[in-house]
Amino acid sequence: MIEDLQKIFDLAIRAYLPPLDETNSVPVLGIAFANANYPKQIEKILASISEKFNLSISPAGKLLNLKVSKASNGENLFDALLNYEEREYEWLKNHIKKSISGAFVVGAIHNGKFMIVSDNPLSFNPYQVESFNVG
Amino acid sequence: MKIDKQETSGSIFNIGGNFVNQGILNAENVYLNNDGTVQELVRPNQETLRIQFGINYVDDLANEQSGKRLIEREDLNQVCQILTENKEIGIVGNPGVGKTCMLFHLSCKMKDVIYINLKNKSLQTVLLHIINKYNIIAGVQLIDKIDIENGLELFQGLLVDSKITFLIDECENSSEIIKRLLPLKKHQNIFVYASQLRTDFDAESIEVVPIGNFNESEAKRFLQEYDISLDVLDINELLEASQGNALYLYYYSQYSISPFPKGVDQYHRAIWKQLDVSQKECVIVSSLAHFPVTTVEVSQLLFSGELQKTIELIDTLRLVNRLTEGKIEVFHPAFRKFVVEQTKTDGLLDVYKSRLGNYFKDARNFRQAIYLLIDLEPETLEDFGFEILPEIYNSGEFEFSNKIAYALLKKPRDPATEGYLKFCIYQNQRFLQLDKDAALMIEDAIQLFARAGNRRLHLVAQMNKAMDLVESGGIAHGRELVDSILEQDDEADPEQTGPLLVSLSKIYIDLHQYKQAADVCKKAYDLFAKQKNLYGMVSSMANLASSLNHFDGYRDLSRKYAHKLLDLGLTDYYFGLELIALNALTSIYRQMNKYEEAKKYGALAVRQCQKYKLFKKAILNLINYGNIFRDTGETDEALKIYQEALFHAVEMNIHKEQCRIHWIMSEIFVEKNDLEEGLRLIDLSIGSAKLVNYSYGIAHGLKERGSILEARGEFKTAAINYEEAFNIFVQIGGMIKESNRCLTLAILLYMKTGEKNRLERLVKISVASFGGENFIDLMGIADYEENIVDIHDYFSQLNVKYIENPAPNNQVPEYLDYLRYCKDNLESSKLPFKKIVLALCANHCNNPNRLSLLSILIEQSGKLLEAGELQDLISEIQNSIKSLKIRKTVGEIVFLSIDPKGFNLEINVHQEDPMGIKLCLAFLIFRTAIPEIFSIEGLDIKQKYFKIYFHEYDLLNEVMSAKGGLSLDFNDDLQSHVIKWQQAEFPTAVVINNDYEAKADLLRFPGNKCFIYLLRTLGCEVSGYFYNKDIGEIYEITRSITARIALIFGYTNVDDDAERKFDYNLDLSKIEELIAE
Repeated sequence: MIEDLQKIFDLAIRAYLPPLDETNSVPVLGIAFANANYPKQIEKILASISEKFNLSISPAGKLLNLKVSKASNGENLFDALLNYEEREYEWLKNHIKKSISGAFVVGAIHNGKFMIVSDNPLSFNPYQVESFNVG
Repeated sequence: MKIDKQETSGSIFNIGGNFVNQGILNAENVYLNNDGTVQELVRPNQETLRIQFGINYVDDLANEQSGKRLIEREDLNQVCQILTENKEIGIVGNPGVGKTCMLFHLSCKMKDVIYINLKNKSLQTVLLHIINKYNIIAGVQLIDKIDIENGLELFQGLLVDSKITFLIDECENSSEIIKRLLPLKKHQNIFVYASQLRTDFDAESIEVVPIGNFNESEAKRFLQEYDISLDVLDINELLEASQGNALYLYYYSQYSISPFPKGVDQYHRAIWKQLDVSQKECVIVSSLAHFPVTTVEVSQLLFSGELQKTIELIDTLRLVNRLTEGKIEVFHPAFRKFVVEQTKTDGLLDVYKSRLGNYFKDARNFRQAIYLLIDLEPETLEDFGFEILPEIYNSGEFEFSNKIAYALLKKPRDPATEGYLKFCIYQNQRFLQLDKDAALMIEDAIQLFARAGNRRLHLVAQMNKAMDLVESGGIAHGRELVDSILEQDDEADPEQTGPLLVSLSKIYIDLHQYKQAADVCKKAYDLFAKQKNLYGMVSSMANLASSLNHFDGYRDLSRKYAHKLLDLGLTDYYFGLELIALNALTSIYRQMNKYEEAKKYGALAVRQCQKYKLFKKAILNLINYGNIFRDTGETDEALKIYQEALFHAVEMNIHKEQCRIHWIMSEIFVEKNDLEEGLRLIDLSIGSAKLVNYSYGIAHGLKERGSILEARGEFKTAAINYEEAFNIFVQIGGMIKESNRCLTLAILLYMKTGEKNRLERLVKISVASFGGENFIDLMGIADYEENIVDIHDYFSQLNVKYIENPAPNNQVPEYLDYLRYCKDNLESSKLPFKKIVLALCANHCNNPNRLSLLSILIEQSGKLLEAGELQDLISEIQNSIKSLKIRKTVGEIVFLSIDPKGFNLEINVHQEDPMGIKLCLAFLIFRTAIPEIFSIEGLDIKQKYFKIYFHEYDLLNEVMSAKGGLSLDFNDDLQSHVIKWQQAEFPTAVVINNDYEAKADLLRFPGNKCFIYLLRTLGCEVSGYFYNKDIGEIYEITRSITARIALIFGYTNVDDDAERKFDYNLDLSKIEELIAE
């Protein structure tokens, strides 16, 4: 299961880090895929794990290294190397404290736009992040 | 052993070996700067080349595929299966079906792989890349240019014992390259071609595997590989929209679009819509550029140099591939095509082309700029067109190079520049094998360089023309040109003169003028010695050795130099030269009948070829080696060696050599009287020759087949073979001896078999050809008993043709042939001969060639013109040559030659002295042909009347005996004397030896100069009298006349200098000094 997850996240291409505002009071990480299928598959796998997560992001070269683990026992779930906008990252780094809670969403660049994809749009919730580390 | 028989086509059995060219003198070494000054093109050094050719395109391929998750196609197994049996395979399929992917998979499975994408590459670039790959492995010098034929030959040689997989992609762009690669013999190497077009492989029967779209299971496997799992409905929809096209499915995995666009093209459109402005621009830039652009260039164009931004852009874009060296390229040709189309539809194509082109121009990347700007803004070519031209030429893009030159020619230029551009076009056309256009171009260029007074380029252009002439069989013209080049060439420019001389020596060798070749080599050696150019010196010494062994009196010297070359110990570096030395020694010892020595060096030469894998040269050397055994009568051994040569020729797929070897072997079997085997082999020879349109080989084969069939008594078919051979020899041109021989043989057989119709047809062809460059001479048949052609009738037809010709050539040799026939059949020939002479006389029209011919015929006529005939001739001359008055007095005939300048020359001859009369006539007629014999421009006439006597020596001596007699010496060339006889009223007389006619007979002594001597001595005597000058002085002034007269007789070297022995001794100490340094 977790191997499948890692395999899919290898295909992730980009990170979105929107600034905090009225609609976003906690930091949210958007992970974009090239194909709308992947988020759906991730949803299926992550639903079964159904826990809170720990998440850390840090630049690695010109990419962003994302690491995600289970909040309960610290078990590594997956990591990924993503393209990202440096300004977004810098802004976030300067505006949030360490280990703040937050969320992440998984989506696809569909018809040219980043879209959150879910099999059950009505019951969709972002994945909860207990500690969001920006290093 | 008739080895001579083989020395037919020049270099085949030219044991002299191949000349080493010390730098071809071409304009590619020079280029015109924009200000019109001539520059030396800087050649890349080894380091640059190593970097350039160190690029491994397989890495690019791997980079390109690295981001993709590929599935192995089911067809791959089929391809591998075929490759176990066949060495060559074509993979054909529409854009996006996965051809390149399949090549990638193959590259992973194979050991040594060379991958080449043919897009925007010329055959030369491809060959250079491949050959240098081999060179890098072998650790030898890399090359920076090569011409196509040599490159292919070299490549073929390299293939013989390598085991490499060649993956050749995007062949649809370059059918021409494929056409040249397919016929190579592949040996243990594997060639896989990928193309959109099946037609590329139609000509050769290679296995073609069509690759189609994914079938359902493959498509599913592909999606699985990308971890895409779809519902049944979705997957059906996707399969329908994509038709299983791999590219489409890849797009789907990368660019999620809904609803599914129909087909790849629509997908492109959808992706395009998603891109933002800089992404679009990045893709446009890399699509429009002719060669891959670099990240730096994109950053400068899009983000004023912000490199990081560019790299990010490229990473997120996923539409361009990063290649080695920071280059990027639109990731699939289909998308590239779409982008160009799209930009065009948007009306922005020209805008972008211009922007990009000018950017490249400003960045001095002219190579990229030219492709973008040539049509769009041709005026910008002024800034860099001249600079880029040689580079484009060197890269082998001849058509494009032509386009540039023509574009530059649109503006009026000074003659030097125009000449240069035309010269460039000429070179391109030669490579493109547009020989006719090329010939016109070089002519223009030569005239323009002459007008511009640019000596160096003028010489270069002339040299090229001369080489063309020699190659195309215009040997006489080529020789004239070469001679004139040599005259023009003083040592003003030693850097250029050396290579020029080496080129010249090659031409001379082609012309079999070994003396001149040796002369030039010696000159080159001295020049190179001055410049301390060791390679130049060694190679001219090798060439000198090679040419000296072709003529008598110098073989010792040749042997000395050849041994010296071997002793110098330089051969590790210059193994080509060692081969020349070995060749020369083999040949010399063979000529000296020292067969053991010859065998020793012959064997060494063969081993040397094998060591350096010069298989083509090995074939030549094996043949030479075999010839020695043939000389010594060891035919079985010789046959074995020929067999080995044949084996290599078949290995390397060289049909020309196969043809030659087969004909030699055929000859051996014919000698052994095994006509069956001889016939079989000669048929093989003809077959090989036909495969490559090797005309000489076909003609030679047909001739041999004719002779075998004749020996078997099949006269009619034999004759047809001879005639066919004749026709081909005529087409080749310059093969007069061979063609006439075949024709004669054919005619004899037609006579034997009574084929009158064919016979008459041939006579007509012969008459029609008279006066042209290639006269088909039938006189040879007169010697045969079977002859049924009326020779007099035949020749009078020729004579009519000659008279009708408004600009007749010098045809003395042909008339002498006829004269021989007449003398052999004296009684029956007197009348016809007289008719011919009279007709010539009546129709001379003051043409110098006709008049001199008439003069020589009279002088040479012997018993054909005796008193009776002379009577008629004199009457005719009085009618038709107005300046000559003839009257009879008591016992004498008086000839009065009247000259408009006021000379009146009277010659008195005894009536009973027909020889004197004829010589007197001949002299005076010759004088009307060439008045300069005694009229000299620029001197004042002091006397107006001169009277001389012609006397027969015996008769005169009898008369003089009372006064003690005369004592005159005559020799082979000296058969007449001008004597002064002080006591007489008219003191000058010409005394002619009684034996004159026998000694001066050109048929018996073709080299005799009796008449020339008479013309010169008497001419000088006469003008000395008229101008009142010393004879010696006159002789000096009129020196050049001798050569002019001699030319009419067909002699070339009458000048005293020509007889001088050449000094070919080289200063060998210089070479040793240099080596010591």
